Amino acid sequence: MLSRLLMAVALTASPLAGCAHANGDGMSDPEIAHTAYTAGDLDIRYAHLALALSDDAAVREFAKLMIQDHAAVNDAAIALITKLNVTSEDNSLSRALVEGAAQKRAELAAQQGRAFDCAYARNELGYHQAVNMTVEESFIPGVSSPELKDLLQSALVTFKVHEGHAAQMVEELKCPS
Amino acid sequence: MPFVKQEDRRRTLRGLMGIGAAYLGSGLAFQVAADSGVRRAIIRHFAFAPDVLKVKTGESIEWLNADLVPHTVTAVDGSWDTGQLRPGQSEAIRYMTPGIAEYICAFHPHMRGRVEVSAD
Repeated sequence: MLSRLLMAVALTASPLAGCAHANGDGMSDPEIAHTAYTAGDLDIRYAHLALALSDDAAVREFAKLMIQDHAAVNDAAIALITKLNVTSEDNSLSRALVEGAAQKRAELAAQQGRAFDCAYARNELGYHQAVNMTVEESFIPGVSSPELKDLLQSALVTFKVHEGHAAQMVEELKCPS
Repeated sequence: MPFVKQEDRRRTLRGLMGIGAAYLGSGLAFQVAADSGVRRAIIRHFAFAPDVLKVKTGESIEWLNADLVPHTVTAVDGSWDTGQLRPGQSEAIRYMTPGIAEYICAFHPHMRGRVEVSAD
């Protein structure tokens, strides 16, 4: 699994593999909840950047969908941790995600037009691939709360749909390799 | 394609007690239906269940969004649409004419289904 996470790093410059918690070992439920929430929130921020910088209809539609869907999943996460009377916990992995995403946003913002569209689309695909792998292979097996596990499993279905949509977007944009 | 009248169960719950009323904003007339003659379907994990529904003219289908994200149930030919269904929200469509209609989720178009409306 570590080699697959490293491949995800090569695709997205994701900090997931560089973090001691990248394989989910030792993470508590509050830490897993916070990290999953953060991952969704960061994709919302990527989407807002796309709406600010892209004129491509497909890219803008995808970005709006990311905002809508990730906001809904995060609302469900907040409702659940409120119900469970849990306080989500910041941790080294969530901090690494935030730092990595800030770097990626700066890279994206330096581009424009088709170059931005292709960079955004590729990042969305790689980001969802990396997050989905972490959720499926680390967070879901590692979480102890049945309700949080159920939420993560439902969220993973959503994120995999997004991954497929991002792959389609990359293909349809016909970005140079 | 079936001609449909859309009913809004939220308006039902606000007390339109079996009285026909004009649907403000669209000009479409609709009737509040009783619970009998209503088929129900669930939207969960980006799929409609069941995805193929068979009803008779005058009967309704109510879709409940049991997913984490918003969905719609939208006729491919544009003749009817539940509008956005937030998680936990439901909406019903009544079918008045025999025919077959393919439908999708407008937000996630890979989600597909079919309504088959038969005469009484």
